[in-house]
Amino acid sequence: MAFIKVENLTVTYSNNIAINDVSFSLERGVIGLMGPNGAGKTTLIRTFLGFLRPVKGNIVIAGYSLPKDILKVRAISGYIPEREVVSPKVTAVSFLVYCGRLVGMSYVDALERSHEVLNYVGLQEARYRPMQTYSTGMLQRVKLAQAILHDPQILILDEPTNGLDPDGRLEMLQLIKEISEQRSVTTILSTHLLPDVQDLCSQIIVLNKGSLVFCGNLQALIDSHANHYEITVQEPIEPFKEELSKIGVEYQELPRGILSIHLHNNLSREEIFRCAQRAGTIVRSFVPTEGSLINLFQTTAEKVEVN
Amino acid sequence: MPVFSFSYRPFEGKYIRRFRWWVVFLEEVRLWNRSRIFIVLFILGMLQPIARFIQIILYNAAIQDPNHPLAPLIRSVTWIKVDNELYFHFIRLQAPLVLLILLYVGAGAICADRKNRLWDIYFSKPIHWYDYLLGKLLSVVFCGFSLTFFPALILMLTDYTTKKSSTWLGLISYFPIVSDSLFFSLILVLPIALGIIAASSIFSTENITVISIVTLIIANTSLAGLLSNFMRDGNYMQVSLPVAIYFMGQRVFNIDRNIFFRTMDDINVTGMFLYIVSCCVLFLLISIIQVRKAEKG
Repeated sequence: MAFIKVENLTVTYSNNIAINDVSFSLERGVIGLMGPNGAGKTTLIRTFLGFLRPVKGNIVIAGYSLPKDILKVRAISGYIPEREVVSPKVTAVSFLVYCGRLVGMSYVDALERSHEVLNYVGLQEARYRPMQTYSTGMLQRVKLAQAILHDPQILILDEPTNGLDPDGRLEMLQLIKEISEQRSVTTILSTHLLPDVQDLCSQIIVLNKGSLVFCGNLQALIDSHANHYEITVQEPIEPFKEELSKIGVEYQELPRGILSIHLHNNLSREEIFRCAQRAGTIVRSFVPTEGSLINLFQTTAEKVEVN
Repeated sequence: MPVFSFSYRPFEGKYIRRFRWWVVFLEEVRLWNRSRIFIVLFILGMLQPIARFIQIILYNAAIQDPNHPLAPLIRSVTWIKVDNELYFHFIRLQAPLVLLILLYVGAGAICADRKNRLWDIYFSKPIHWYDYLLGKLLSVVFCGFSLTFFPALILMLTDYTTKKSSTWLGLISYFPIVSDSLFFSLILVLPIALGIIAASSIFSTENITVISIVTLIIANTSLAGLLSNFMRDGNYMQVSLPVAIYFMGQRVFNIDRNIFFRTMDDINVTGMFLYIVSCCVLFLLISIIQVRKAEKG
């Protein structure tokens, strides 16, 4: 059974559609939620936490249906919001104790857990300092600490590496990796930093302008783009494009006269050179497209935009 | 390379799912108790109860002992008398400090959380909007009561214990004063607390909240004053919320004194009570709408 199941979800802000008829299901694991700014990532997360009411559709998380069982979902979730959160005059320990008490822990349990998780996220020395004296990185750690305080089943991270320096970013990613791997916590990582997703996630959801672009296994997405090449030919380029169309090769024009092509299984690379020969042109470069997530992400997003 | 070599244990304790508002209430009380300004204001607020405490002890001592050296003096001063009017004046004179202290503790209660984006964290925990709002509101009301009703109770207890003829049955005679004090304290503290919480849920900072509340009180009373001047009828002062609260206090304690109105004949007590209640409902609705929106979108 899917851990997260979303069916025909539509969320609107007044009259603007933020998420449009999105359906997907995800297993346990680390899930990357990707998309450009305004894609609907934060809206989806806020809907999962019950901050926004969908106008249409069903959401089931860990067997709990939203919005009916929202408190149960919140009880098993830890959330790191995107924006900076600070309780200026309160120490990190007091803040975490309060968060623990809100979850339902007794004072003693909440205090004990606060010290444990603050140690874990590396705020041992600073935990008795007012939070207004913390750096951005320390505040991110406090946010992570309050999210894992009650040992949640699902961790929802909205841009957790925002505003961190390179070292801080690596440490935060390491912590997230450790929590999700060692504690088997299902993690939803919303980010537009593709390397973060590539490092951590096994599954991926790509959103663009409120629509679902891709949902599934990250490796499957990378594999689906295995036979992609970038080709540059001598001008004029039009006869070559015609020849490509004749043999049924789909191409996409990129800047600087580069063509991005996808070879079907029954077509060999030699066929492309034959096309160039028939078009009376010379192939200057013929390189496989790098299988990085950045390229895949751009290609998939562009496809949706064209559609 | 692991960042930190140690880890944390899975949580195996029990969760207490009920009375989440109590947690919010305790946190609020804890937060303002740590502030020096609050402590100074609270000490100022305790000056009158201390003075009343001395007054009750002196009065009871003098009235019960004809040979007491202060007896003639105390008997000659009418305002030192200990009766139900003492509790009315005690709560009435506390009102300015109650407003000041409630503004201090309540102005940032909600807007500071929103400004610091703490709502996202708090409402991602299993609490409802009403737990949050109830906790905030009760903490402000509690603070108001700790300057009005609770000291009044202590004063009554002092009066009871310093009377030589006190019996257990004599305690029953205090019930009307207890209920009057509770009602007057409630009618004084609740509109102020609700107004401050409502303003705090609307405005972005503590300063704007304080300014808006003070402006609202001044504007409301000025409007009533202007209206009564233009219409040449002092009874239009009923439109002022502070006057309505004061008058309700008088009525509760059965004190017949006219300092605001032209005549007491056409004063509508029920209307004034409904006016206070409708103000409270309005403030509550504003707070509910704002906080509910944060939790449920």
